[in-house]
Amino acid sequence: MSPTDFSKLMNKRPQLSDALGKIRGWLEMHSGEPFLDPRRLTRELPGVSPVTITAALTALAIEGALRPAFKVIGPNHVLADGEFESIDAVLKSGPIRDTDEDTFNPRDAEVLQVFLVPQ
Amino acid sequence: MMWGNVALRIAGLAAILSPTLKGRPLAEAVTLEKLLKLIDDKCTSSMVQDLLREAKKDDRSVLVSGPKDTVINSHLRIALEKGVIKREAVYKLLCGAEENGRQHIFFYKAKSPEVIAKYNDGNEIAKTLFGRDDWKDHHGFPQFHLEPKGAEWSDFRVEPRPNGTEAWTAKLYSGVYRQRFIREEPYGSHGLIAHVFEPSLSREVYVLRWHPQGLLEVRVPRDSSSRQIIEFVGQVWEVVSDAVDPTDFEHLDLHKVCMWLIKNSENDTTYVLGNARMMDEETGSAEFKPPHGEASLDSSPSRKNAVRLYNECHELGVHWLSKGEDGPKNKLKTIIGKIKPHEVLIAGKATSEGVDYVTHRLLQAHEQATAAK
Repeated sequence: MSPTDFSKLMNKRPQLSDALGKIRGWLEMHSGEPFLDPRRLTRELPGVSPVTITAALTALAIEGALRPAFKVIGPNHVLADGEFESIDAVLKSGPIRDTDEDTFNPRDAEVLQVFLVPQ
Repeated sequence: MMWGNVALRIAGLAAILSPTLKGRPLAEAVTLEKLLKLIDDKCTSSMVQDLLREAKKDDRSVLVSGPKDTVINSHLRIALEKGVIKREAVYKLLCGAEENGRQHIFFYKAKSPEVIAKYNDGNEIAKTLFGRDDWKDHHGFPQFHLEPKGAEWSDFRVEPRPNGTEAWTAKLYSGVYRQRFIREEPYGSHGLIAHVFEPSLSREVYVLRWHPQGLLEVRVPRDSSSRQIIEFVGQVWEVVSDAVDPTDFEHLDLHKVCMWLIKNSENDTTYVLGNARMMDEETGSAEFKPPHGEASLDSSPSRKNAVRLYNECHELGVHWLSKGEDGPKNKLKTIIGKIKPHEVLIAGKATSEGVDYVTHRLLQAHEQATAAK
């Protein structure tokens, strides 16, 4: 995701400018992170409301700078590998493994919207 | 509740193994479809692409790139049909893939130099194991079994080393019926839900591998049940009991290795730590997990510091980074001590170079951890 993507969007949506700037800073600090987790950004970007963070991420997704997807939280309480295109795909999925390599059914798991960062 | 077809009892390997059973030779008509399906199941796209790339040197029309389905079901199929790639080369690729990765490896070390000398004679071990001098010709090794019924020996390879010692590998296929979950469906009129299972013929690979420095590996397939995995290991020991005496070996305890890898992770760029289960002096435990599978155990300063407050680690995820030709081709995720202190889970598909690299690194870490103590 290039700085230009952010600059364009900050000009287009000035009300999200502060949140977008902070998300850009977070990404610079965490280069190589494969996705953005709104829960984590809420904790790590104090002073920005969760609603504004979500709006900024949604705006970036609409612009095509991020790709929305779904991940599930495994029985070991952390996000499992792999992502799903839709909630329906989660429900139709067979068993997958959590990061302890234990099998579970994603249907029974908590689902989380994430935003994939183009690598 | 469970219902469906009559459950078929899973027979133990030792009970169903016949040492005189001969597998089918490579030339026997093995359908291309089954072969390609197995390649899809066992090999990564890059493993197949390496084979295609090699063939492209002789025939420029061979295509290499594309999604995995295209690589296997189009490019590889065409290369096989044109004869640019021989079936034997595909079997070899498959054999390598099924012996390495998606498995638990249990490590044992020889108790004495006499034991090491005894097991360094691969031919003698094979003669005892198969009960005859002409074991190789008699069994026609290597044998490839696409759909093994029961347990069938596949191979016994002896690899002489420059210093006069020998490494060897014994390989066994097992095809047993296991109950596979198919679907949930309503049952009766009282709101009951039935889980429907069907018997499915598995194709499992068991490997016993001797390293001449005194290390024995027992490799068994993954299973959701730890008890089943332990049974697999017991069955392998039983099958080879004529030639390999369990009392010659002791477990290679990897707990010390886990702690050593944690302490040295900052100075080593060849691996990244994953989940860790630490043990305190009262045998209480604490689990540390990064937020997702791609993040490192040390990604948060507080987590990094907290892990190092402990002196003992009983389970550790280690992600070995790509090392080109001399190690993992892609990042290889492993978990040390998931089931037993002398065991490692190789989570994904892997090459023999990748798994050998992990074994070498663990052995090296064990020596250094022991010496440091």
